[in-house]
Amino acid sequence: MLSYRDVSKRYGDVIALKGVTLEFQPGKIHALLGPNGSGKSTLMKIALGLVKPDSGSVRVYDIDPVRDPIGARRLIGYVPEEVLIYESLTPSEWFSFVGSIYGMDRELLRERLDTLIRVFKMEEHMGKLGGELSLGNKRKVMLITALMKEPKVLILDEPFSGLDPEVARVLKEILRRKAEEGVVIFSTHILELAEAVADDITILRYGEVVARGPISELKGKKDLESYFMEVTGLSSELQELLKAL
Amino acid sequence: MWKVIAEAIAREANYRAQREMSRRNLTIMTAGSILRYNIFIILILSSISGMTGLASLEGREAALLVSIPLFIVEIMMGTLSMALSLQAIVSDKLLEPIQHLPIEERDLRKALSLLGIYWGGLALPFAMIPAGLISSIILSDPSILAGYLAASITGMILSLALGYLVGSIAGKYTRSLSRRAISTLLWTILIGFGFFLNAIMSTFSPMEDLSALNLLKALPPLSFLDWSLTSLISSSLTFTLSLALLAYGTSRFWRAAISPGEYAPVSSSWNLSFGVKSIVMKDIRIALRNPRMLAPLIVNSIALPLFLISSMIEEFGKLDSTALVISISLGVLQAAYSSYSFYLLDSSGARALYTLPISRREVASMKTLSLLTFNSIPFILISMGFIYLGIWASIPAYLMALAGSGYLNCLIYAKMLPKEPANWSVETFERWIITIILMIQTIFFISLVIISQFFPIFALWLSSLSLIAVYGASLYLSHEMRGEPL
Repeated sequence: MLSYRDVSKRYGDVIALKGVTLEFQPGKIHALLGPNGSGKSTLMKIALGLVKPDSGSVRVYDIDPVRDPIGARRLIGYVPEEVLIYESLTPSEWFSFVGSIYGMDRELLRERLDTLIRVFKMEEHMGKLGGELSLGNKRKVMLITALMKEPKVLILDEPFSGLDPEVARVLKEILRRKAEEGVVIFSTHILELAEAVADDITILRYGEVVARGPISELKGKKDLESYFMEVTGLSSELQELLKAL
Repeated sequence: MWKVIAEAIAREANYRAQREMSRRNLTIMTAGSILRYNIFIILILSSISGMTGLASLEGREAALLVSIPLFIVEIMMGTLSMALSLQAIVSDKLLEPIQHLPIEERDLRKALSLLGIYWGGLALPFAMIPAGLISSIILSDPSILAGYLAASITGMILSLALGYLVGSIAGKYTRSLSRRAISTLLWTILIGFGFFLNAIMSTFSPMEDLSALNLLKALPPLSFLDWSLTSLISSSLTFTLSLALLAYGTSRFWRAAISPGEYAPVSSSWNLSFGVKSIVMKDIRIALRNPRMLAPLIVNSIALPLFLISSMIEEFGKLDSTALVISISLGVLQAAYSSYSFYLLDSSGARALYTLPISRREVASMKTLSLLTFNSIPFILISMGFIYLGIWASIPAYLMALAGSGYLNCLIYAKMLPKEPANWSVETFERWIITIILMIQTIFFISLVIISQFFPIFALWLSSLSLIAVYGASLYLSHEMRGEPL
């Protein structure tokens, strides 16, 4: 379980999160939606202890990531939005390093990696340097890194960007299976993707939760895009701007 | 335009390397800020240069000859600074955002030159200018200052030019072994220039050989201090050639850095390694694939200790205690000079480490393991020397000093790492802090060696106590950083 209670965070004058209270339970895929700068990435980074909240409390199962970020990171598989990869290491060298950091059993690691590499079709790229990989393959390396240790919480920031349709479909299936045993949260700007993959959605705007719940209940008879535009207030703003064009 | 480009690149490098800190301290490319950025190194170099300039008390010939080591120090420091700065440019991909903009290459050349001056270049002439000033005052000859000034400016331009030129050979990450080997060799020659030259100079004394001195006067840096026609032509040619090389080097580096790169065939087989081996091999592999980083490691971890030990070999025969003191201080100094580079190996990849469950203490331990693995080469060579000389006790003393100092220095750098995901580059660690760390340990080394000449037993006590202090400080820091996340 991942919970946020009255969490606020500011970057100077910019409010990133404002009194956010949320709880993510296993068994469902949760999608985080919101315009750019709405606080999605900050919310995710707080769970790993990469960003400290100004106030409020966070729990990753029983662990407080502010006090014990290392403990929280042991439970979480995280894929950030930006590409984080060693340009002069091959994927196999990087996976060996990460496996050693986690202290994973050799045979288990070998078995899991073998499956993940085949699932993500990375066999031909394992000997290339990180700097030689395409953006999509770099993201696959990050996904495999997050998945290799069977995390109890999977947090993925824009995980589908740069992936080809086939791998995107594989990822959707992986998320579905992972959600059966742990917490799965992903952020996206593609509303169709959220609708197709997630069970619950949370919509943020200016650091506040403006809507939360199962997609079918929230949108009612509307399509998700219209509902999103309505709750984020973007619809009326856009109409005004388009008129000015 | 070119100032704007240089400023944008400098700001971005600063931001990526420090994140939170850089929000408060953004770089602005003005003369004042460039001076402030380099001020500490300027002060250190000025002190060393000023003291060296006192050699002119022995006469004009001495004043001229000290320009040679100072010029060499300038080139060595300049190329080392360039290697580390170019690593940041390449690993942080700082040129990528501007490569599609309609910018003329002339502006890019100027921007890269300004960046070189900002990232340490401005301090370089101060390796010579104070010595020239003191010599000209002592000998009442203003032409000496003018000559030193011209030589130092030329030295700065030449080291920036050589840096960009060599940097362009493997401008990107490459699996091409030949390119990496050539690039590493050239960087090592440039950065370790003085150590190699010292061996030649020790068998060749221009003070005693007037024909050799006359020959040297026709070559830089002495040509800048001589007013004969030959020397003037030589100086003018060196200056013009340095400028031309800078223009060519910056252009070549720019093209190499933005080129798509060459891809060698890839083997489809892959292996996994586990445990300590995979942790150590991560750093070793990165070093072997980055000539800009491998060369400083070779110079600091291999060339420097071998140079120091070979220059003190005569002292070993005297007393066992002297040998022990030298072994301890060598181990401390070698690890101090080596440890910083191991953090820079991670470059932009360091951001990925922040998502893993590791503490700063574990990072320091991993870096110490890599350091000891890399330093095992000089350790074995020097230990063989100790065995040959029959001073067995020096081997464990040297190893203990190397391991203790390595861990302490790695802990200090781990403590200074940014608190949020950031690239680890020359911009991550404050240069003045690194300079202080290195100076303290250099002074420690020199002091112990000097004391051991006059009070060998006292020096032995002092070095033993220092070793205990190193281990004590390591234990204290290690305990303090227990559980402190990256």
